[in-house]
Amino acid sequence: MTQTVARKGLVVIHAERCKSCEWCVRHCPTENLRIGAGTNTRGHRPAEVIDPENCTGCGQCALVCPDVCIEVYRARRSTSRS
Amino acid sequence: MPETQPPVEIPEGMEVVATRPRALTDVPFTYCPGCTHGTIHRLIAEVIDELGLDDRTVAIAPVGCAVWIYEFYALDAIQVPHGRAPAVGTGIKRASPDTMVFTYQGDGDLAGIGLAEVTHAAARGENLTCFFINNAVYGMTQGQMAPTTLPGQKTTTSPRGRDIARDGHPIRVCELLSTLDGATYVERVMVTDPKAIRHAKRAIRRAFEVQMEGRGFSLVEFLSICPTWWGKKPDEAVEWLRENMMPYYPLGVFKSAGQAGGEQAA
Repeated sequence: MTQTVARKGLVVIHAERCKSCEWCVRHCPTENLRIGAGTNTRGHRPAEVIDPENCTGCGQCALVCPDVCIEVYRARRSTSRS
Repeated sequence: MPETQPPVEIPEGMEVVATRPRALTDVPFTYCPGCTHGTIHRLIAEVIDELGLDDRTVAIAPVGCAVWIYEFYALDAIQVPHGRAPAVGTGIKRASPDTMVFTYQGDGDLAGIGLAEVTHAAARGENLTCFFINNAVYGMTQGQMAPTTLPGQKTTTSPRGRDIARDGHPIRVCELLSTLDGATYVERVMVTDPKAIRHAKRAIRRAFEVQMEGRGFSLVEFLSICPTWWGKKPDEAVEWLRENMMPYYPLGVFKSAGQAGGEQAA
């Protein structure tokens, strides 16, 4: 499991579930995801976050992930939305 | 191989945007990398969570790649013979009308061997929901030609492409079922980009709402990719779907009857 803390958003990728299909990499609006160099126990190369500071927490990666291995958290806005 | 997810501590001042739905178990999906079965599973699970139906929903598993959905959903489930999901669903729904019933079927299951079952379930206006995953091949059995395989499409049993003169024409299930008076809600969607995925989720929700209101038969068809048996990477497969499947299988709502429509004839 890769956990990365960011200012605006936090993406948690459950690396053991990832199958390296690149759906998230192709759909990240800030191009902030890539396929990592390591392998998981099934031989897939899991996706990873490039720069945690650059994540906006939009949730696009989790929306397209077919294996439900991405969790996304976003900083609460001070105005409403809680 | 059950695999539990380590608990994630939500950082101070952050809200959840996306997490694993409660209606899914921890079992990892058995699908090939990039297969959109997983996306559709998650959308259905999210809708079940949002409507609070997880304690009264029965999932009906097909024969095909999705045969193990009883492992993936934290719901009651039953696995039925090939194509017979709407028939079994009819029994469950009539015996226990408060139970929410959905079938999850592929093109070989629903449009091939099970075409009679789904057609008659729709004609009777059975109050259940069918999710129809159309990827134009038999995925589980290694990519043979399916009833929805496009003209000219190469599969393992049509290596020179589907020949209309020999193999006949593909079946458009939504168009077919929308001609039946018993069908209340029939829509075709796809899950190949974020906007389409959000729209597909709304279609799933509408289908469940039709069933909750007792208004009759609902079916949502998903244009889906099969990267492995199309012999393409997921992004190439999406491109192929857009260029070839979408013109033949146009998206849209094919039937949406009002309150009076789709009532049980019996």
